[in-house]
Formats: sequence, C-alpha cells, structure tokens
Amino acid sequence: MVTTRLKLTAQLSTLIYLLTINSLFAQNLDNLLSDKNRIAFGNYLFCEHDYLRAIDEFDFVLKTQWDDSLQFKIATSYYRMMLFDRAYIEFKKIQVNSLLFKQSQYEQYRTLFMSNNYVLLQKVIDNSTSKSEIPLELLHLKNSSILLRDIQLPLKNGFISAFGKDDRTKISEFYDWKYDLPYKSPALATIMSAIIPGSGKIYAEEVGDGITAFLLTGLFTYLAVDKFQNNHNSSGWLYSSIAAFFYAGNVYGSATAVQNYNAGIKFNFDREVKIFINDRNQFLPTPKHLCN
Amino acid sequence: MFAFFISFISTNKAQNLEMQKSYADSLFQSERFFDAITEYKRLQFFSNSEEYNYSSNFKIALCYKAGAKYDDAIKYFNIAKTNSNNVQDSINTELQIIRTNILRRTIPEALSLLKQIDEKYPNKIDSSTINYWSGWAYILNDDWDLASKEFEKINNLHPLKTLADSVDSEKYSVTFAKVSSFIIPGSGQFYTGNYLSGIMSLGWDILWGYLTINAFVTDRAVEGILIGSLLWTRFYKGNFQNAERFAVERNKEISNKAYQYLAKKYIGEKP
Amino acid sequence: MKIVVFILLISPIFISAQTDWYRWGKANINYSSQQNLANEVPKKNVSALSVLKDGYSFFISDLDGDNCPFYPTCSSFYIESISETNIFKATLMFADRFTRDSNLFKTHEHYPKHISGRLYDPIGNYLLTDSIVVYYSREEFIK
Repeated sequence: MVTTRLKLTAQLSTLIYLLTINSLFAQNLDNLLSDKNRIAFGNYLFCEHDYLRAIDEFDFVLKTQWDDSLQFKIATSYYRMMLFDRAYIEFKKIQVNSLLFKQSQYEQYRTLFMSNNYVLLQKVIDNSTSKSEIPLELLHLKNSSILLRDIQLPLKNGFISAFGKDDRTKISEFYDWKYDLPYKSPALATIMSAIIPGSGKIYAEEVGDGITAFLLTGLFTYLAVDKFQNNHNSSGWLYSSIAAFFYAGNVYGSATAVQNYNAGIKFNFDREVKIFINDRNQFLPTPKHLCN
Repeated sequence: MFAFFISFISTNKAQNLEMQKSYADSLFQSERFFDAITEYKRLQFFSNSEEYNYSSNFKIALCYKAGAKYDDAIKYFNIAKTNSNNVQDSINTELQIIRTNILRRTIPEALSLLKQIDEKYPNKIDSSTINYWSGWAYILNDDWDLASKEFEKINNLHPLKTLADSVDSEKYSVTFAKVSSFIIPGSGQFYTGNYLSGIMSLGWDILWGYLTINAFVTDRAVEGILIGSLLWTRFYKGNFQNAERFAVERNKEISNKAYQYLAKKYIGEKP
Repeated sequence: MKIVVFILLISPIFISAQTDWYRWGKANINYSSQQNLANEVPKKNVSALSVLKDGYSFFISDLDGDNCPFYPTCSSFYIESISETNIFKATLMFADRFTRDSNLFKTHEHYPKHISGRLYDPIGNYLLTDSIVVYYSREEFIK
C-alpha cells in the first residue's frame, strides 16, 4: 500500500517536473528568444563578423515575418564569408518594391564580379535598365570586367571615355597592356630548341633549364660519337638513345614552358586589374546602415 | 502546486538568464559545442551585469578547446581571466591557457607560462601541479627524458614517469644510424631493423663503386665521372638518408604508440 | 589564386571570427604527431603500370635518396602522365621533367609551393593543351 503510494507520488512528481520544464523552455525563454531579441542578438553577431550565427538568428525570424533588411544582412553575411554563389541567390530575393532593391542589385553585381562570373555580370548589367543608357558606375564595372575576359576589346576611345578623369590613365594603360599582352610563341620555342637544344627554354625565360638541357644533350651526344668512333657500337646506341631522349624532351618542354610563361603573363595582368577594380570598390556605392 | 506554476510563468529577467545559462550548459554537456557557444554569447549579450562574464567566456573557451580551435580558446580564456571574480578562478584560467598551449604544441609558451604562474601566485598552487603540466608539455614536445624528470619530482613511481622512461629507452639514435651508414653502407638500416633495405643499399653501392673505379682504371674518365656523380653518389646519399629516415620513423612510431596509450587508456588528468 | 587577391584585400577587416564560418564539431584529440602530408599521388588503377612502379620503387627510388624536389615526384609524374596520355607523349613529358629536375641552377622560385613542402608541378600544365594550363600564385601553398 505504502509502496504504491510512493510510486504514484514519484510518477506524479516526474510529470510535474516535465510539465514545468516544458513551460520553462516554451514560455520563459520567450523573452530572450522573441523576434525582437533575436534581431538584436543577430545584429550584434553580424557586427562581430560572426556571420553564420547571425544568419541562424535572422533566418529564424524570417520564418514568421518578412523583413527585407534582415534578408539583406543574410545575403551580406554570405558575401563576407566569401560564399558568393549563395550570396547572389540571397540578394536576388529582395523584390523591386523594397527600399533596399537598388542596393541589393549593386551587391548582386559585386558578387558576380567577385566570383569571376564576368559573362553573367555583363549580361545582367545590360538587362538591368529599361532605358538605353546604362548608369555610369555600372558602365565602369562592365568595361573594366571586359578587361578580364578573353574577348576582343571594343574601340579604345569609347571604352576609356566612359571613365572619370582620375581613372582614365590607368584604364588606358590596362587597355594597351591587354591589347598587346607580351605573350611568347610556343611554336618559335619549339623550333629554337630543335635547332639549338635549350635555346627555346631560354626564350621562355627558363635559363637554368635551358643550359641544363644543352649540357645533357651535348654530353650524351659527345659520348655516343666517341663510342661509335671507337667501334663500341652497343654503348654508342645506348648513349645516342639517351641523347635523343633529352633532345626530344627539351623540344617538347620548350613549348610547354612557353605556355606556362604565357599563363603567368595573363595571371599577372588579371591580378593587377582586379586589384585596381577592388581598390575602386568595384565602382559601386557601399551599402549603408549595416554596422556603425 | 498552482502557485508553483504561476511563479515560473511570470519569471523575471534574472531567472530568464539563469534558464538560458542552464540551456547553454546542457548543450555543452551534450557536446554540441558550436551551438553552445551561440547560447553563451546570447547569455552574455542579454545580461547587462557582469555576473556571467567570467563563466560564459570560460565555457566558450572550453568549447573551442574541445573543437581543437586552440587560438580562439586561448583568446576567450584570456577574456575570462580579466573578468575572473577570485584568485582561484584566475589560477584555473591560467592553467587552462597553459593546457591549451600544450595541446596547440606551443610548448615554449606553455613552459614560460608555467614558470610565471609559479611566481605570480606564491603558495597558491601545488608544485606537483606545475611539475605535472611541465611533464605533459615535454611529452607532447617528444622530450621524454625531460618529461620523466618532471614526473619524478612528483613521485618516483609516477605512472607517467614509468611511461616516459620506457619510451626514452626504446628510442633509436638518429645520429648513430646515420653515421654508421656513412661508414658502412646499410649498417644503419640494420640497426633500425630494415635488413632488406640495408642489404640492397650495400649491393648498389658496391656495384656503382666498382663500375666507377673500373671506368677510371680502363681510361674511360668521362664515363667514370658520369657513373660516379650520377649513380654512385646518388645511392650512397640515399643510403645514409634512408638510415636517418628509418630511425626517425621508428622513433615516431614509438612516440605515437605512447600517445595513443595516453589518449585512450590513461585515466589521469589530461591537457 | 583569385581568392588570394580577394583575401589580401578583405582580410584586415574580416580576419576575426573565421573559425565559426562553418559548423565544426568535437575534435578527436589523440596527441599523435602530425600525419605525414601526402607526398604521393593517390594510386590509380593501372595494373601493369603499378607493377612496374612498385618494382621501380623497391629497387631504385626507395634506395637512391630524396632527389625529387617536386610534387608529384618524378616517377608518379611519369605514371600519371602515361595514364592520362600515351606512352610516347608521357616519355617526352618525363624527359622534360627530368631535365628540369636536374637543373643545375635550382630555380625553385619558378614554381608554386605545395603544402608538402615540395614544388608543385602538376601534369595538367605539361599536356601541351594551352587552355588547361593553370598559373598558381607563388604566394600561397597549394593543397
């Protein structure tokens, strides 16, 4: 009798405990987890660069109520975490009727530029305005991103006149640089190395490799000739094939060396242009009211 | 009973924060460290008083430490330290910073902090605690000899002293392996137990040595130089490099076996 | 490489809190010294070739010391280029690689650095196909 009563009491108290715990989490925490508080906490995290956690807070609020400024911050968070593809999608969610629409469009362009998606960037800029005139800042971004694509450059005068006075000299420099990038010819390197072993490598500015190739080919050719003259035919053939191995490898390698050299030329050009454009903040206005 | 319920529903802010703390603690307990940090940060954000500054920063640091994010852990331990309420908290935090440094393998920093803490809080910390963590620092620095000396200061029969001694005695001498292969090719490999590799190294060196000398003797100087420089020196160099490498690898295996024991079976306090 | 440029520009502002830009979990702490960073190209299924390669490793490359400053190593480079092209082209590529390897002037700054501490010299840059040549920034370590 006593034991059953004890059991009952135990069960009852467990039940009460569970109920209270539930109510605690459901109601009492509400104060800290209310939408208002979540937004405040999210803003704090956002400004501390703790973007992933900020996104969690904003997302939670967005489940029940739409708020374009939160959406803008979510997109910015992805952008700052360098997840550009996701940032682009999030910026696109802001609708035309929003006050942040203009800013979010700018951020879309910036995001496309950062993810090196110049083709889409130029397409989107062209489609952005119903009017025939593209706003000046977008024209700047569009033109400078053309420098980063492998397409024919438009005529110089029109291309450059779009830019402001301060940027014109630099852009003109880039234009000339891009117009005639100092590429070298793989075919020429191949022919050079075929005639004088190693010379194609020197042409590709791999002087050490060129001299090494010359010495290796020369040494084994000398040994082969020497052996044949002394009628050691078998070792003569051995050395000839080693010499041929180095000779052929060098002719082949001269072409690839020039290709790698050219890739470096392109890389350095692109880097300079990107540094310039990023230095100009992609010619776009900085978004306002994010953190003070 | 009813009053009990009512009292919980109409809680004030202080109780709310206390609830938030226990929620964060429960996440910490269930090892959801990333989420726990979020909740500790929330706690800190909403508590205006300094009541939670020490405990939440300390917990955040512990979370980072458990996730092996040692730089962040040390950053938050330092924040906690400036917010600590009493000497014991400060000492605890400093010891945690030292232990995190040990795990991060910034051993020199750990050792210098151990020295400082001893001077900073005289008579507050057991000398055995200092010795114990110094020993661990040396262990993770692969300095088993010095580690043994530290544990010996605590107790001559300390289990970690026994371990350190046995690891130290098992280790191979890298210099001996290298030098012996310098003198007789392959002998260093025999010392580390890599017999096959030793025999083959010896074989190659005899072959190329013979061919080089033979070329010079039979007046084929160019070939002699070629074989000597391209092949003989290459394999001779490979021979003592291998002896050295084998010794280093064996030593690494021995250390790793001990580290595995420490991670899985050792029951004492760990950094 | 492009990201580096960006990071260089953006890093002074956003360097903090990067740890939490992904959801990490509990770490397994086992005290073992760091694993050897992979030096070899992962094995591909080239049965006859891999027999040859194993033989070469056993008799020669395991015994003649660490002579190759590159990643992938010379023999791996050869094996991989055979499986990607044909034996003729691969031999040409290997001859070129061998020459660059024996470069007397050690022009190491001409190559990007691999995380293993070697010089990164991938097969793709030597296939003679202009469009797939990639220039890697010299300032960062390639994984």
